[in-house]
Amino acid sequence: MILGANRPLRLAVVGHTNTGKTSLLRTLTRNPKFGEVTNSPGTTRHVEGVRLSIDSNTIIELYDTPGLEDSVALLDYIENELTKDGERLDGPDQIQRLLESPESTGKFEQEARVLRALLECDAGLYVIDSRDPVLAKHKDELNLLSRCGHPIMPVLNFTDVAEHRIEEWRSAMARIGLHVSVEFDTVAPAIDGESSLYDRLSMLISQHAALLQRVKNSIIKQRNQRLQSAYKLISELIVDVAAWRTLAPADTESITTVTIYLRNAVRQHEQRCVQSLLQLYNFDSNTFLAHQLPLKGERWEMDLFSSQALKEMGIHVSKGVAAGAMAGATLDAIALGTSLGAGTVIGAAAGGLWQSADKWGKRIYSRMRGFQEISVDNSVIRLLLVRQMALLNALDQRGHAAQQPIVLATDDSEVIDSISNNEAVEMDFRTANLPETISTARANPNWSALSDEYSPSGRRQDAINNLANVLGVSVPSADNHHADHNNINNPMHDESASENDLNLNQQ
Amino acid sequence: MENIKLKSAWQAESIRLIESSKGFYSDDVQLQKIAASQTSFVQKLLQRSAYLAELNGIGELISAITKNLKIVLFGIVFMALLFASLSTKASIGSNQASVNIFAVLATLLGVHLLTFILWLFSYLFGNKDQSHGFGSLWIWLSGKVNTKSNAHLVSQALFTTLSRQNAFKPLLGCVTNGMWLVMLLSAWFTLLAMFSTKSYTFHWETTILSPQVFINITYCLAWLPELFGFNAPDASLIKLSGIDNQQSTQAAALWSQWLIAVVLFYGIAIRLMAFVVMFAIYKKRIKTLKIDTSLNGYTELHTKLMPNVGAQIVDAPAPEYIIGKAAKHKINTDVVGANALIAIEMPHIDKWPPFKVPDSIIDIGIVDSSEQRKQAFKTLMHASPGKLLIIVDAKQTPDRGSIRLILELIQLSQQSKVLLLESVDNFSDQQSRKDVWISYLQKAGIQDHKIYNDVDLAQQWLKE
Repeated sequence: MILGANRPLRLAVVGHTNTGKTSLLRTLTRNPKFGEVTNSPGTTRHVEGVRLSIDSNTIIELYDTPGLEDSVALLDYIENELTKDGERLDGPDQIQRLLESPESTGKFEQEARVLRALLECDAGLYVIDSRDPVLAKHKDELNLLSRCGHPIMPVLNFTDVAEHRIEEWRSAMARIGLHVSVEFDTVAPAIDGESSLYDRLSMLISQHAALLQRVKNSIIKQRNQRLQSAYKLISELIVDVAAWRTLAPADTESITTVTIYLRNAVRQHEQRCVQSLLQLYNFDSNTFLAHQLPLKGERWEMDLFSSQALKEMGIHVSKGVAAGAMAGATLDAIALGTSLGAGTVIGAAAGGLWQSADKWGKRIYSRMRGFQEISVDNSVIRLLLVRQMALLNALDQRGHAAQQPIVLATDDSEVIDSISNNEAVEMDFRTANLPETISTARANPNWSALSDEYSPSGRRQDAINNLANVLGVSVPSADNHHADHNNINNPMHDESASENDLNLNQQ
Repeated sequence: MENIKLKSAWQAESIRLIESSKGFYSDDVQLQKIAASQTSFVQKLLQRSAYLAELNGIGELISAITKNLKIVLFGIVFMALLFASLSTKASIGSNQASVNIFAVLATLLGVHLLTFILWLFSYLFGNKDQSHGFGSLWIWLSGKVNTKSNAHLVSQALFTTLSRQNAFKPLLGCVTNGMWLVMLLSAWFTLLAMFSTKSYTFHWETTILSPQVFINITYCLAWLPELFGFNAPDASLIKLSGIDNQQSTQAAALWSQWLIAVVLFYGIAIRLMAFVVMFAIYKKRIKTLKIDTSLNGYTELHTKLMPNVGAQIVDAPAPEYIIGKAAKHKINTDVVGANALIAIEMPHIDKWPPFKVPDSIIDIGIVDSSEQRKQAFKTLMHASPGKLLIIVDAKQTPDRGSIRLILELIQLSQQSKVLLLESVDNFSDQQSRKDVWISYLQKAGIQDHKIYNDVDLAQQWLKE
């Protein structure tokens, strides 16, 4: 590298007014609160910089600049007023002369700020609203900017609309010698949008290619980590809801009351998961409009003696007493009447009996009193799964410049349709067999954070991780073609990266 | 590598469990300060949870739970001491009768060895949450003592923290083996005290076994103590003890020494070793305490605590936004030429002119580049029109450049008006920017009545 390794790469984001420069910064920094964005010109009026860092080292400094608004007059001013007849000045000298001129603090104050910022940067990203026609003023802008002596890369914004003038822009840019450009929609960026932006940029500033490659890898890594974390959040929600059971006396009135309570608690829990996902993806809470979860079909039957619960109970009891009862049995034979053996009885009791008694005793007692247990039906769990995955899908593909809230259809069939249209989901949780983890969770009421006896054991965490893996496999996302980057410099989340690899192997 | 104290990790885990099941605590200034500080994510998480723990009484709860755990542990230790001592006394018997030596040995060591083997198996092959024996009794009892709200989650947090570190089973192993150690020590000292203060004789009984079995067992068990200088009864003495329980004090001393040595080596030493090993493993694993940042409840905080975006750098504050002003004085010419029509920056207008223009009106056309502008100025200067209609594309964003151009054009005619025309060619999804245009024009000093929205009205005015 020519420059010191410690010096971050400086990029100026420039362009005509109201083309989405601040939006580009929002999306690149994943920060929806950066700067101010309105649909009118002249919103940003000063240069504002942000640092993009990897592992707390600043790698890139991005400068948001005011829009260029009067390039035609400015170019005339430089060529007619500032250049003496017969004088030959190169671009940067001309710009320097402009910055020393009186109009740099007067009529062209805003333009001077932009050019001064670009002079100090390594390259410029020229943001284009690709819906706009190519005008003389745009060409003059590019002409002016290129006089700063740094590479300029056009970034075509708003490419996600039906009609745009990308071709018109491309041919216009080619005429002035700009052959490397990138399409990047700040509202709905392509999944590999940022990657291709940094790739193209490294074609222009090859001395920084290594650094840009690092940024690119870091972005891919972070996206995969976010996905893994999101799967875990959804899995925890599902485990919490599936495991939860609440008691009610057998009369209709009580059951209705408890059911309403259960519904509300599950709704709130889903909302919490939504908040967590938004937080994970760094979006505001008003990004996602709250909605009512149409919960129907709670499970009424007493699950205590259902086969899975019994199996679980069988396993649990035999495991628990395995130490206790066996010790007890031998103890009876050897140490009958002697007292040291009684210590082992305590050991046995502690080993399994008491734990189990504690766990099942209340349930058996409630059953004897004629109480019923109410848990959440599988259909609701399917719905929860489908909706959370749809939300995740939307968040994953949303740029931080987007200002419209996400709306998921409340009718679940529509949700499914919208997902299957995206062809992102291979496994349809509405009809496919629910993952094994869910029935395991059902047999472990104390796994539910909604329960008073919540016990976040290691087995619960294993179950969450398993389910997260299943969810990860169900979505054949962009992980596939980024698989080769997963193992590159991954100091923090080694585990999640290896989970990723695991997913890919399973696929 | 930073060392994390158990209490910090426990606090962090408590906050994590509470937040991931009940929702996040709200931000305040202190938390924002933590987020802004220059340190690692883990450190920030720990600082955040320490602050929140203090704020929400979790710290006190942790102290209370620690205290309860200790009290319960001491309680069990005390009970075990008492119990072992009394039971040993009972098994030897307080009457001066002869002691059945192998029966006593079985009661003293049998259960201990059996549970030790079971514990060892469950330690080596059981899953990381499963535990048996005194350890889980301790946990279970402590859980019953904690009654405050959140106490359940906070004590669970300790177990999950330890369990994730693979330190929970060693800790319980410590307690289980420690408890047995205490019991065996208690039994051993009771034995010692009884043998010191009273005289006993020893014998063994059998119905089906041959004396050789007892000789072998005795020799076998004596092998290890003998290495350390403990004597064992010889074969003849062993044989004799089977027949006659009235033996010499010499023989009784040998038997008691052998018994004490066997309990010491096969009871106390084993448990002591297990205890020390468990304690060492526990300490070692606690020393390298880690925070798993990929857990729910932590991952959501990453963007907040570790903004990948550093401090914002701002140049000089933004000046007042000056659009430009319409000049007060007009070029004063007595000559009033024909009316004129001009459009600026409209390369894609579908038809030009937008309405039928009679020959009497000068059509300057669409002006975009610098050269076109200069040419247009020249024409207008020469023609000095009475009325000038300036057409702009309302679908594009106005800027200072276009406003300045309009202002310059206005100066070249007696009267001029601006027509906001939405080019049909432009895209339906791109919203109109008429409002922005109007406010820009107003700021430039062009009054409302000089702005037309409607082609027909503008046409009418121009043709009048």
